[in-house]
Amino acid sequence: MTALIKMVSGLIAWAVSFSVLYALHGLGCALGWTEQAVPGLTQARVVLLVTWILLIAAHGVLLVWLLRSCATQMQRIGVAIGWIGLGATIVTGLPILAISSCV
Amino acid sequence: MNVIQLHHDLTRIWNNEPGWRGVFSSVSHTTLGKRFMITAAVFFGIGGVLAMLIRAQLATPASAFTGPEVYGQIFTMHGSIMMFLFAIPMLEGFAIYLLPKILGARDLAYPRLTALGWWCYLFGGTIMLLALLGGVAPDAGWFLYPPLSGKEFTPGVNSDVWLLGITFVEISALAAAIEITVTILKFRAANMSLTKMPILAWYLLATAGMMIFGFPPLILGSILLEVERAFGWPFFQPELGGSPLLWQHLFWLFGHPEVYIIFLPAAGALSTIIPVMARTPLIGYGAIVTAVMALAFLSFGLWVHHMFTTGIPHMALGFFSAASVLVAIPTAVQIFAWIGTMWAGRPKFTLPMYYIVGFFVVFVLGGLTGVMLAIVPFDQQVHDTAFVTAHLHYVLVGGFVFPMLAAAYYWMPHVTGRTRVMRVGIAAFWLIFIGFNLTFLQMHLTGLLGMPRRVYTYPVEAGWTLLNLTSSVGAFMQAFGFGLFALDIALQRRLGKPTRRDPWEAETLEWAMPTPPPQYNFASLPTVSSREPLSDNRRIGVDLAAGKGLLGRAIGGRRETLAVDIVTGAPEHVAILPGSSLTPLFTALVFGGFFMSMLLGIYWLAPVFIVGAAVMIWRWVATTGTTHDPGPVDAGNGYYLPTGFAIRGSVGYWGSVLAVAASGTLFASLVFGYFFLWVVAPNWPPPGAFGAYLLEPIIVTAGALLAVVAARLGLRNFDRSRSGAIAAAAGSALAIAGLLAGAIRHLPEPTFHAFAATGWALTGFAVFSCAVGALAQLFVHRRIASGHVIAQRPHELRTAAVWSDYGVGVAVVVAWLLGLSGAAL
Repeated sequence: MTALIKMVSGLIAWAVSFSVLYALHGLGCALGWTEQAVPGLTQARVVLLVTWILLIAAHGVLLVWLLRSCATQMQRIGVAIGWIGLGATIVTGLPILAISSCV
Repeated sequence: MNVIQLHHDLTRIWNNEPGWRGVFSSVSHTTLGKRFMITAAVFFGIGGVLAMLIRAQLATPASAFTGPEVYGQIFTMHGSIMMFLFAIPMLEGFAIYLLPKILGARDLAYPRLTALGWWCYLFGGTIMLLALLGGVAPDAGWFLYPPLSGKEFTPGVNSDVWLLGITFVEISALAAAIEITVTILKFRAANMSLTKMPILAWYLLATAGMMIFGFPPLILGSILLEVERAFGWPFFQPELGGSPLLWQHLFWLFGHPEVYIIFLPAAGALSTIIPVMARTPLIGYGAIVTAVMALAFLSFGLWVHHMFTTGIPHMALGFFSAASVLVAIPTAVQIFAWIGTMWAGRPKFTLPMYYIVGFFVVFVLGGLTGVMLAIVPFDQQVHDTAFVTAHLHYVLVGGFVFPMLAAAYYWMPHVTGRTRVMRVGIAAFWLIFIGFNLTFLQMHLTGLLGMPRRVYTYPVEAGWTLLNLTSSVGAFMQAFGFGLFALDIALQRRLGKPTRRDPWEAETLEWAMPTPPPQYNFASLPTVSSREPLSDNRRIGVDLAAGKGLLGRAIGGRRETLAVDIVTGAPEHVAILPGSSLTPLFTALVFGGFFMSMLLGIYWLAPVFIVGAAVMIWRWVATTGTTHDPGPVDAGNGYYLPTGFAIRGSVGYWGSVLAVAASGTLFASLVFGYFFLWVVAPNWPPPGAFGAYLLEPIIVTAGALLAVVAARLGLRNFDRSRSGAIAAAAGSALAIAGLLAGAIRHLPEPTFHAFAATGWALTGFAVFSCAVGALAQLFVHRRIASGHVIAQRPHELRTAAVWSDYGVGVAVVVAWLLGLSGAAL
């Protein structure tokens, strides 16, 4: 069972990342994080941006761990899924860079 | 043993009981799989008739065919039947019938659960149909949005029928999901590692996993809306701190994965059939497994694209829009793998291939409009128009109906043991294909011209007349096509010539058995060395029938099949399955009593049925296990294996783990709802002053610690297991007391505000979970006394610990959440 969970760990990580970003966005808007934290960036966007970068980094660490064992087909599928998780977290987080946060 | 005698003995052991009793007591996956599929086909016919009524009404402007009240029931029931009573049960039946056969097993992991699922499906569907006949069918659309579905705007029982009937049916879906998952993980041929599984098993594993995590949000939403309607708890009423958007979130948290839940098994059928028709191995097995897993996960990140016009902030829309576009990639990987497979092979243009080509045309078009709808501005333009109706039919009919029609023709020789008799199927295909596109292709245009969904009439001046008329003509053409298809299948069943074994020269194990299949599937169980066992050994069917595989014997009337290691497929133990039983039927009747008492408003009676359900489940579980361990048994071919009673990771344990995962998802959805209302809904905080309270959470935590520690002690030292079970049950009881004390002393009346309503809902859920955990521990206490659980047969201890740990875990979270919430309000 552990091997199966390891195989899909990249996508589990994406699901966690996606949930964290969505929840944090809702929380930030509800708490009114709309002040400018740094020029051009609201508090909500800064928090989301930092979180997104940390999540991408965590995906990178996971991927490195997955790449250490590629002997079996399940492990190779796990690596591919690790890449997919990383790509999905990058793509689904892209709106943080460009779209208004709480409007 | 004499081979003929072996088949006689296996037939006696595995066959259904004779006569009418056998109809009610069957637990055979072959029988129940066919029942699921036939019942689903009947519902498809009913849903199709409703579709004809819709098209008759819309064929001309200002039609006098029917009025808005009846029309509301017709389109609501059409959608509800097609989604809940046709598509999901059909895929369940498909999996239930086929799964053990392609995996090389004799039955599913929980045969009685299969039967329970079918009875629940039948009874829930019957409630819906009776309501339709009685003129009180649901009429608020298949997604039943409040406030339209609430008590104010739907005061009759129409919405209750949907909420209770569909929830009843969903018990069946969850049962099937757990069943399918454990079967794939444990009941496979010897040495069938996960990567040697037939590709269909991967699809079904992903589908079942999605059902386990996808259905609980809808079940929760249905419970909350029913409680609001019955008792006035304001979960969805903005004036009291609720929000109708919470329903939309819970519904679509289920609803979008649902599309892929329907699509994936059908895609699995395509991945199975296309290589056979192309006479070449499937290209990209690993890539397809990867794509299927990606779809299974990504599809949970799309639900808000059904809510793009509800005023959610743009950035959040961007997250879901990006995920919605992204999901096209793994879908495309499969499409290209199928095209590549056909390109590499020498396709035979048999009847299943007609439907496969039809699938490609229709589904790809639906997928492309799906990408269009994933883009927020476009979606906002066409939201709730006929464009969306066209899109969803292209996806669902293309992605499910066409592949399942191909699958029907492909596997009918297996089911009936007969070949097709006439060329009616070709004519049926063309009628369905042309009729479908005539109905829905120009419906995109109707939508772009502004025709909304769910309207019962339209004026001549709107300019939609010709488009609607041709859609109606196409719909009736389709209906004739489906009629011909049904005739073709009936003719094959009655008049077809007997077929030879493996008529398609396929490579998967279901073709290594006689057709139609005996109830025991294989006289002895296969050992595999690749994904194409029939290619490796063309005589495998004969060898297995001659008893040369594993478990090629019939001992003591036991229903035996092989259980393997989850990853490697190495033989692990011999699972002993239950025989025919009326318990599933009676349990479903008790469940039905609960739902009917709620539907009829006899609320005092509902708790009686809850107790009845607990008694039935107790009796159900009590009939499993043994007091006499036969020890390792000779499974044949040099394998001496223990029975399932004497191992740690029994199938019962894994089923409990998955059931807890489903329950945990429901709990997480409820916690999400609590915070969602708090953060997003208007009229928060509730009027009045609330403070934090700590005493009750501390009591709950103490009870939880007692339960967890006592269960651990029992697991580590069997001599302490009886007292440990009692102590664990007492810990759960203490947690229940703490929860109830906290709610009674500190929460307002549930009708006061959504805060109180969700607080009471959380408390109720935690109390229920703890009660289940306590019952599990009391049950295992009895089993130790009766000798069913001993140090060498400890798995029920582990299973009970799963339930009690989960129950008190939920209790601790709820107690502290509510205890501390007051300080923040």
